[in-house]
Amino acid sequence: MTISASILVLDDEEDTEDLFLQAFRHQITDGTYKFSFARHMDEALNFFKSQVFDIFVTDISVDGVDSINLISQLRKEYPLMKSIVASAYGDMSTLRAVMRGGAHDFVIKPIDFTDFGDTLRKTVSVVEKLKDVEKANKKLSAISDELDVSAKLQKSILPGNVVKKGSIEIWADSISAAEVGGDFYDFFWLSETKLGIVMADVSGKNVSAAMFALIAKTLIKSFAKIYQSPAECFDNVNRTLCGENSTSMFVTAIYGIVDIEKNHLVYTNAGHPPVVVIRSNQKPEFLECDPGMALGIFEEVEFTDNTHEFAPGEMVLLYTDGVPEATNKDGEEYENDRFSDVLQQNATLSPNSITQTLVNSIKEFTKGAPQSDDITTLCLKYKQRITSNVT
Amino acid sequence: MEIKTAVQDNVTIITPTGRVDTSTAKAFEDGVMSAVNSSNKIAIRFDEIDYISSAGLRVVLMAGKKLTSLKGILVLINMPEKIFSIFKMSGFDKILKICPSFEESKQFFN
Repeated sequence: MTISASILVLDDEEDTEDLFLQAFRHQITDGTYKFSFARHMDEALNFFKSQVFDIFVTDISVDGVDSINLISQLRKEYPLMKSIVASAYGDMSTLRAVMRGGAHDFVIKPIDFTDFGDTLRKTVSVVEKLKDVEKANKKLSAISDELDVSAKLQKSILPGNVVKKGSIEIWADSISAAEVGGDFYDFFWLSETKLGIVMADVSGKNVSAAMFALIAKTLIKSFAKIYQSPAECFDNVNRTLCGENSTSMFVTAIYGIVDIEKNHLVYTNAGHPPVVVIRSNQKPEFLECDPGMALGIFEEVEFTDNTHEFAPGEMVLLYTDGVPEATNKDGEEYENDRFSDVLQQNATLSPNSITQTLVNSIKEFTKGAPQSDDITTLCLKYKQRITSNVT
Repeated sequence: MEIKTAVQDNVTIITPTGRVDTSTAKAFEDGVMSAVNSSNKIAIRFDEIDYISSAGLRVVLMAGKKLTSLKGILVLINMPEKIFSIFKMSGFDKILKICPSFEESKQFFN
């Protein structure tokens, strides 16, 4: 492979330019090297102002001054450029000082161009490697920037952690994996007595998932304010997402309306893990319903409403597959059995505490393995109805 | 994850092995889409994978959509119960053809 390197030569001797052009005529013709020549310091500095060089070849003494300072200055300013010093008098002490100042290599004058050709080739390959490292670094920092953006974006679309009103108390949280996924939850008041709750998981990771999550979240909330029924809301969200989805991204979601007057939850499911009901001294119940289909895939899908009547003291948990599918270092999944056990054992805790206990149990289980997916939960506790004594 | 590809009776059979999750979804996508670009009769075997995440489901979905637009056919075969439950939960079993074996998938390809 031909590597094209640009080289600046600084030497006050008249015939230097001719010697270089003669010695490297083939490499110049085939584009391997591109030379520029300067005879004085100010000429060289002018070149640096307008061009980037890979290699700087300089006499050890220019305009009567040694080039130690120049080389160390250039090294700071152009870390990807390498300097080669040409020294006529074999002055070891000056040469050593120049090398210590940051010159990459040196050559003895009069220049033996065969030997110098080797030096130049080696230096070019060093510069190329440096450039590769630089490129890789830039890529890495772009990736970490992207992760940072998606993490911020994901956090920014969440509404907070807690809702308390009348007989209900909600705690919701999302713990992002290193590569941020597209989980989100939402809650919003539709009226004085009706609270909309959403749990969702977008396919994919990072910025694209975060953007899709933002769109899905906005659509759900907007249609929720228009349509009374969660199923009707999802019919419309789905049609809209299908209309402008060339990337085959999709989102699984549950949207429910908590009615604190009627003491029930009406919800619809779009391909999402089921709602769990937690009661003390009982095995948690994974509510069966038509799983529908993830949003954004197939326009013709129709969603159905399901109703769950609250019993005093019970909790309802919405979650993403990051919970049962959390994987330990042996490749085993957390699975519904462990999940179910933890919920049953902690059924009397507050929404905040039971969520925390669940997350700790998952962390303990997956200790030593990287978190592969977001873990997102929303827990609603339906407390004993407060009966008023006013007659 | 690895992807094996074989051709039998004019059908390209893709067999991913291991876990299809976020970290391997790109390789899965590359393997599946390159098969889709060279053949319009595709079967994906699922009995050698341990897990498929939503990122992997998306690839299957993309392949299905692409093949439909090319008047081609995608059939998912040899799917263990555990993997099927992931497809079923997302509702994908309603729009994708799923068959117990390659033999039984031939009805779609012929």
